Amino acid sequence: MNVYETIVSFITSAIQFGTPIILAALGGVICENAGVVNIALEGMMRMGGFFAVLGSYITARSFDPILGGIDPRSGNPWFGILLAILVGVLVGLLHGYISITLRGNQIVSGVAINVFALGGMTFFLERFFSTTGHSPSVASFMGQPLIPGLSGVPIIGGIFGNLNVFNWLALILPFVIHFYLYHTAMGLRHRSVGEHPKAADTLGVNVYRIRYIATIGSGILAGLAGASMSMGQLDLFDNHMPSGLGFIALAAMIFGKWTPIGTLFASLFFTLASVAQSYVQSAAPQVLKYIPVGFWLALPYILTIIVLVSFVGRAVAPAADGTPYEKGEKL
Amino acid sequence: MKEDIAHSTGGIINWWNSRKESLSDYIVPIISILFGFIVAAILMIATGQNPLAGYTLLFRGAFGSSWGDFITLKQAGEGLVKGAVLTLTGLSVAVAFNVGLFNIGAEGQFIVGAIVAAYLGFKLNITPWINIPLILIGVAIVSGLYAAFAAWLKVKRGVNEVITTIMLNWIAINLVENWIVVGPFNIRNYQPGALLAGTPYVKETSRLKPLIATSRLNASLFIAIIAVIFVYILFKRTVLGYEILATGKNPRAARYAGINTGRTMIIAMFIAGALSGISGACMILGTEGRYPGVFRPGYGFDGITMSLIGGNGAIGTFFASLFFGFVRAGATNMQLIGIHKTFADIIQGVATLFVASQIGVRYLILKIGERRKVGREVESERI
Repeated sequence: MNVYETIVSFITSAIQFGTPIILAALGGVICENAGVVNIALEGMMRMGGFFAVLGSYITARSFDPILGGIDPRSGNPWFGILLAILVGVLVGLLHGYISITLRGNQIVSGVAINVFALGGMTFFLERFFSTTGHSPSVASFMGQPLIPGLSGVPIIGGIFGNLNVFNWLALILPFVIHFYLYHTAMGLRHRSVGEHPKAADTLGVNVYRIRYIATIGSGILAGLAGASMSMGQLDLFDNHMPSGLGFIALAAMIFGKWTPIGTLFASLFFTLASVAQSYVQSAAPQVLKYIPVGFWLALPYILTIIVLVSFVGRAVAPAADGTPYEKGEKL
Repeated sequence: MKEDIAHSTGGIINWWNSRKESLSDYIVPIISILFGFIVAAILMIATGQNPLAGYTLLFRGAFGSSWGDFITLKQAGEGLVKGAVLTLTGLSVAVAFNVGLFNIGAEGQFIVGAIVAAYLGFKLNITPWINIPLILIGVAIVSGLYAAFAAWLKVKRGVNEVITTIMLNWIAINLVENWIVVGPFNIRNYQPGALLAGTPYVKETSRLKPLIATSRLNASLFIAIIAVIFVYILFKRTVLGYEILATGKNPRAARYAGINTGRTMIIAMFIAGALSGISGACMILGTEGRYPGVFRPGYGFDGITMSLIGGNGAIGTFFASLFFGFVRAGATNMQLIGIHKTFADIIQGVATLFVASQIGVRYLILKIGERRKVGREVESERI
């Protein structure tokens, strides 16, 4: 493998691995910039991941040449994405209803969604697929580049020719959301609701509506993040998903200081550290004799803490993050 | 007219304020748990299961199929052991919540406590009455420092504790399971050719033995009860507890009142870590006997739910944990009709959702009262 190929495969696997983290973290950014804490990213990802696979599975029609019966790989993966988005909307609505309309505790609601997703998806996995391990392989976007024509383009082709739909979303959405938050009137309202809902309300901004948009948007993004794991990295739902990546996304959001671009780089930093450690392990296995594998696996997390402590410093959340807003409340 | 409405609303608020301590603190969690069971039953019906059969199995799994089973704690002991472990992680999260920190790191502290207990339990061999307290003190110190590190970073460098405790979870899991347990402290270092993964068994003098022959119930229940009393007294009777509560309610005001909030946060987090660590130690010294190859029971994360359902208080957390200890033990029995034991998480999750909306439920009651009043006045004006 020459240097160019190494770099290309390094970047490609970083994008592959980072996609769910970036998408989920953006969900967190959207939500918390409107003043609603979203600890439920993990659970939302889990639900999105499961229902994406289910969506692809239930559209399967043709018969399996070997086993007879319906071939699970003949479904429509786009329907899977649709179902993941739909579930994201519903869970976002639920989180919104509790934290906005009922003015409940946002952290408690988030934790509850996580716990429910943990048991609920195992329950559904057993009901629909009679297993608690993983679903069958379904039609997915794994190894399906969105724009395969790009692979012929020199230099960038090696990287961009391999990206599936989720990877493209993860690379483009941070800039879209950045533009929305910082360069549109709606985005200004969105942030004002997170910083000072009372002031926003006085100026005629509908605080509740924006917060609902934010929680629903965050549900959709987290649902897509889950789908990117079960339908992009793999073609099945594994019961261990998303194995803590939702919490990593939460950390990336704080690390990125609640901004979309910052979050993109925080996610990529974490991802690169993870990819680097796996490269070191496979390229130079002799180092494992001196530094054990557990240390390498822990390294990305250790590096994140070191970077936070030494360079990033105080991360300041949106001022009204986590506080419910009641119309007409006295200051 | 408007004053009238405001007055009546104020009346309801006053009524709530005077009674919410005694009423909603107990009623809301109970109603929430009830809703958890109802929603879970609806899920069972929707997927073609008989909820009555399911819950019968759950009940029998939790308490036993006969009076004999119940009295000899054959099944119930299992729930009590799980409840004890949950109580300790629940208290850990509760103490942190009360100082204003969100301890997602209970899982990592639990794992650190477990491996330290496995190591000390293997190395120390005196008598149980000296061994076990020594192990627990060692565990409390190591896990406590592990947690306090996150609080220290928050106080000194302003790093958000949510992010550091999440990172510390993964650092603990990876260092323990992919290094210590497979490397320096693997069973094969001591018994070459052993077929087990994980660490060697702790010494007999370090084990928390079953209290009665018919059940796996062990002294971890007493350790949990002692911890409940400790946390209860801490918050009700001590200066430190007062400082923790003051820091949690309003750190600025606490600082003006002369409380060293930074120090208070670090101490509270140390206590939280110690409690989670002892929880892990109870599992290792009790039911497990050693650190197995893969050990992720998730009790650290469950601690968050237990604390929240229990209203972040010592007694509430204890009862919530005992209850869900039984539910978890009972859910294992639902495997018989093809329902995975994580079914307990569904009940727990839905119950927590309702706990989350408790402020909202109160608010809705206020709203309903208000609307009725307005409606009546509009009607009377028409007349």
